[in-house]
Amino acid sequence: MLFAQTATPIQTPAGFEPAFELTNYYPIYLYLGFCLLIPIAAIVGTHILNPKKKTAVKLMPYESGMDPIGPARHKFDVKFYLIAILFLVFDVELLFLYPWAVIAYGEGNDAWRANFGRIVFWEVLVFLATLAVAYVYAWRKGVFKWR
Amino acid sequence: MAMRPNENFLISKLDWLASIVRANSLWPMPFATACCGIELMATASSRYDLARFGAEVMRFSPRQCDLMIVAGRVVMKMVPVLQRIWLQMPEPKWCISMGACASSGGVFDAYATVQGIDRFIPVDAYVPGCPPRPEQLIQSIIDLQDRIKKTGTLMAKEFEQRTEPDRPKTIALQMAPTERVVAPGDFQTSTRAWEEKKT
Amino acid sequence: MSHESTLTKLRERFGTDGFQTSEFRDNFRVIVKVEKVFETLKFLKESCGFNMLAELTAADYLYYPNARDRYGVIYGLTNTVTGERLFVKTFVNDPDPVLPSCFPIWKAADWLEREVFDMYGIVFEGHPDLRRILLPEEFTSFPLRKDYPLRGLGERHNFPAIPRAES
Repeated sequence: MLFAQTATPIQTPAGFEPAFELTNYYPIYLYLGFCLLIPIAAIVGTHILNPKKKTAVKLMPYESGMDPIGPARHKFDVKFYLIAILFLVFDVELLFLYPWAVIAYGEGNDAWRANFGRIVFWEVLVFLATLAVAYVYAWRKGVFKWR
Repeated sequence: MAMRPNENFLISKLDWLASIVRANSLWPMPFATACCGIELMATASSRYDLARFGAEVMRFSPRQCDLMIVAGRVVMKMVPVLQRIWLQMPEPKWCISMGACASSGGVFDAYATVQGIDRFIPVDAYVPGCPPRPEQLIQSIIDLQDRIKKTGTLMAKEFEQRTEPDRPKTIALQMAPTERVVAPGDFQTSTRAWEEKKT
Repeated sequence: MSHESTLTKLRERFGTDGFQTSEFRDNFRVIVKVEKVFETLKFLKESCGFNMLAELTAADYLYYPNARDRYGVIYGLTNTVTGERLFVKTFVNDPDPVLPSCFPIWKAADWLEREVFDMYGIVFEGHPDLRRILLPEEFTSFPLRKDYPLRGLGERHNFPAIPRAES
């Protein structure tokens, strides 16, 4: 032990236990330090000590050996995001419905079943109605038309 | 003067260290175009376990690789791609030509199949077989590691002398008279077309 | 499979000497002249129900015994309703092997005609984009012609070699 036990041990019904002391945990910090040091040393060392030839072919974008067509930061049409968001909405809807359905009609005790079957049932209906309104809105806005 | 240590001492120790490190952490770029690629996958998987020799990290980008394993036949349309990927790998780099097709064209002696990739890029180790057993590929990697440990230098100085293409010297004798006739068509710039467009 | 109804319709349209037929096992061919080939194919699609161009290939009859023409172009047609299969064959000759493209009839002919052009150098007039499809753009000869040497003219050695010091 590098650090001596300074605090007095604590008496418990099972016997004496050493008191908590933060200095006892210094190997963790040593370990963390080495964990950071080794990759940083490897990256910096290879960066300094390696042969480099920066030719135009080496610096060109890698497209499996083909000539790249267009820039890498290509702009996508916003309709892809609309589809993604709509998918997410209905995905999350299912995510909420499944646990509720399982508890209300399957698992759980009678009190739970009663609550989830009555009060929460109406809440779920309100939730679905909100989503239906959003769905109708998206439909009227023409999100589902691929323009 | 007499007491001055050899000034190459530190450099040679660094060479030795760098070679050891490089030889035991070869990162292959699998250029698998044909059935040899299946054997390459088998070599990397648990039964043959290329990881025992530190070469299991197959990376599919040439930026992170220093060993190109060409597994399978290479056709004319693939040569500029092969050369470009080879040029995109960082130094120091090595190349293993795996299987009969990559080394010599194999049975595909037709108009479009390249008769050995060593005509166009440097090759360090050839693996015979159609396709080779995984043990053969592992043996070639061990041989390559031995060579890197013996001849490797820190700044890859051992490659600077080799300004001639590494193709076999007898290639002119192997080629038939009709083959020596080079058909018209500009294939010379296809690898570096992008480079020329940039400048 | 019987081809009688198709042949009857063809005879009505083109006359008995408008085409020849031959048969080998279940492989039934209709041989037409180049001038008639587009018309025949259009008629076969529109009136005989051959709605699918299954294949389009060519053959070089150089050094072939008793052959009178150089290139044969073969259209494999399929009727997807009845399952009837028919091969339409036509011949073109050097020095200018040209025949009309059947791209307006079947869109499937696009790549097939490009492939035939790539390998045999047979030009399809009216094709929207007649480029090489398999071989590199720089390739100048047509490798499936019989007068092309088996090991090539050296195109495959045409690339620059990258020495070790340069890479």
